[in-house]
Amino acid sequence: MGIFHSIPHTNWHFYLALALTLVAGIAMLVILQLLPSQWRRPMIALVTFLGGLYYFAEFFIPVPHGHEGNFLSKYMDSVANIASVIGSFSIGLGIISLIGVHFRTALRQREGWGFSTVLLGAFAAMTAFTLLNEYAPHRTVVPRTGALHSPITNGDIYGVLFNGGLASLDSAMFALIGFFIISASYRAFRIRSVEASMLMVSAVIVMLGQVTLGSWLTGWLPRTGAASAFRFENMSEYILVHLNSPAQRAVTFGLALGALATSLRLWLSLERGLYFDQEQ
Amino acid sequence: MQHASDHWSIAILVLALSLIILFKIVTAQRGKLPTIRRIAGLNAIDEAVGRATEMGRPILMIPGIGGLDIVSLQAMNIFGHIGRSVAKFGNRTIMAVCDAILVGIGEEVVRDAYTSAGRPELFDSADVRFLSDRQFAFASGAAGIIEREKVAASFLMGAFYAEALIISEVGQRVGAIQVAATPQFTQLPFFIATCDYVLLGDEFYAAAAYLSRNPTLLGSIVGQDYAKLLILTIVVIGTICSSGLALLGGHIGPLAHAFKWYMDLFTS
Repeated sequence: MGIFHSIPHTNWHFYLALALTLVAGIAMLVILQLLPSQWRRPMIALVTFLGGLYYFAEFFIPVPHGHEGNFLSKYMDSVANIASVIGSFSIGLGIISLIGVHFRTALRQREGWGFSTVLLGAFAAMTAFTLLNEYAPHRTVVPRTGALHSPITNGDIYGVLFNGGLASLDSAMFALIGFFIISASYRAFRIRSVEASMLMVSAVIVMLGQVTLGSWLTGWLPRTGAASAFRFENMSEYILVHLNSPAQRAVTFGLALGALATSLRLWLSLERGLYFDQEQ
Repeated sequence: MQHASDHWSIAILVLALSLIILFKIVTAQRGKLPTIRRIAGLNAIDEAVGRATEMGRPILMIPGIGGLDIVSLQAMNIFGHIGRSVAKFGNRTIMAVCDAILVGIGEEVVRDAYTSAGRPELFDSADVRFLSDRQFAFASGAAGIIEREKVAASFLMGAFYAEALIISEVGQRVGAIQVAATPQFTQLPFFIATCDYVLLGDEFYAAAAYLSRNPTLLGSIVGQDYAKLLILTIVVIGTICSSGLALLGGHIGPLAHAFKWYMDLFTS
């Protein structure tokens, strides 16, 4: 939170403030759990309303001439940090869920228990080496010779695991899209109906309009005059600018209004029964 | 940072749109229930749930890879209603989330669905799974669940990016009925190519109202339609003004001033 910015991270005051915040946060969660459900809902509604009211007021209160914000703007970072701190408590929930599912699978040797074991091992290794990398970086240095030492791995075990392992696996998954696009395109371009035919024709025109082959195929048409409209690059531009863009903007209006309506319902807790109980 | 005082006309428009939506919500809550049109993709939900029950295979729900925001909450809202249909048939629901914050909300939504269907004993908290907060690790985990569990139906609703095709293509390969909805334009073509039904644009926000027939949600949908009508009116007048200015050319007169004044109102 904002107060931490003024405390050096090496100072014991920082760790004390951190511990106190953690204790206060846990205490708040315990109190919230102990509250009877008929009190819990109004309390959550009140906090939600106050949080939303801050952003509403910060936006609508006029900004004095020559200033960058109004008197509420300077608290923007602190309010965002409070939201981050509250959210960070739920990371624990996520970790418990992840470890719980895979620990049970590995322990009972259910189907795929080997993958669960790898996940648990990777989780433990990443946690340990990330902490070591932060607080005792000299302990995680890999030998200067050998396969583990490369510019990508950064010369430490954290680099080996993160850049050498996780980032590479991420790239491999991303590369799968290339293969999947082919099979998905095949299905999409099969002519089954009038709509599919229109999709196919417009997709071919747009694709040809973007590549040299398209320019070459219709290159003999004049660059000006009525016939120029049939050059692939011009047809492609017409589809993108005059057909595609207006449709996208129309959908954007709908989406923005949907988001506005959902925000209003959540902010004012109009949607009783969404997460806590049924609407009366 | 943006403030209302940067452009008061836009701020007033947002306020007016909000008031229209709120007015229709209150009207609906007082008993004046509107009728909304059928959405084909949502009719497929019952079909998907029924087929999954017949096959004895679970249903997968993924609320996108966004964090705790309006889009994810809307997805959870829809999943709550789908979950009730699933629970009614006594089938199993698996939810995979990419953000740890959504684990708690997801558990609450699925538990509530089974409880309201009178089958609380069928809820297993291990079926609401946080896979990873990294995009492709999540995609890999979700694809793994689809393959291992051979899900019969897959509901992909929320913010999706490059992982959309990976997840939906794997679903297609195992023969799952797939219904998708996302506000991300870039992913719509991939969903259209791989899923059986896709909810386009604000159908995503209308879905929960259609499924639940909840007065608040129905009122909200009608409010959005009136708000759209207001925006459409502004756009049509803007088109007339823009065309009028072009026709007038460089001629400066009261009419040209009026056209320009109107266009400046909504130009940033």
